[in-house]
Amino acid sequence: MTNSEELLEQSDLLLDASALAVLHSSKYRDFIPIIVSRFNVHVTIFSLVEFAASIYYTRKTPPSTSIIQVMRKIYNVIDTLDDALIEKIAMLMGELTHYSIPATFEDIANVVIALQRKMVLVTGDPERYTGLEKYGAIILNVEELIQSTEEFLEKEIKP
Amino acid sequence: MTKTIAVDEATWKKLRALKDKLGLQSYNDVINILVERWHVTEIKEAVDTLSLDLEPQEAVSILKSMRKMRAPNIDKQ
Repeated sequence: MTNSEELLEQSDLLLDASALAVLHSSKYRDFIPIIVSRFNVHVTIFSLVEFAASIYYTRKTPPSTSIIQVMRKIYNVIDTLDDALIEKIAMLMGELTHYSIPATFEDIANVVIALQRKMVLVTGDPERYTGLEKYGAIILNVEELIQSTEEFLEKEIKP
Repeated sequence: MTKTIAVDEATWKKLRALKDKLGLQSYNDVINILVERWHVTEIKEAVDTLSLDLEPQEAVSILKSMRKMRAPNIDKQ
């Protein structure tokens, strides 16, 4: 078992907006039911807003569809933060500003939530977290999740 | 701790046929598989509702360009 497979077996997953973008693309969307049935998959409301904004921007979905409601059917949505999380996010924002490390609120929130709740942060754009890895969050490229799902499917299909 | 559920004769026959067909050891396994499949179907329907016709790289680069618009200095490290 490789390190990434061990991580996937042992932890809940937190998808960021770029991981959602990759998984909901035409190439990989059929993998989603398998992924969410194999793992506990969470998404913050901030990542959902970012992902939904990109969908509205590209106008790839009918206007009558509530993206957030659809996403709630698929993922565990983290839409409230407790005081400890808010405090940690604020502390990290302060620290990053002090060291002039640019990062968006969504990325900082994802790193803190993954750390505090012992989740693996899955991303389709690892560059987002340049400068944030040193805070200890485990960050996995969504390609590794896809590869693990492909291997799982191969095993399931073979007798 | 086990629990008992009541089903009518027709449902019991269907469950027994499914148990034999799938080669399962118990009705517990049959019900678990039915629940699991139901979840997968529900999720598949939800995923299909969004139906984005984008390639993975295209979807990520749209997000990247939107980030740059919102925070122009984000990638200048």
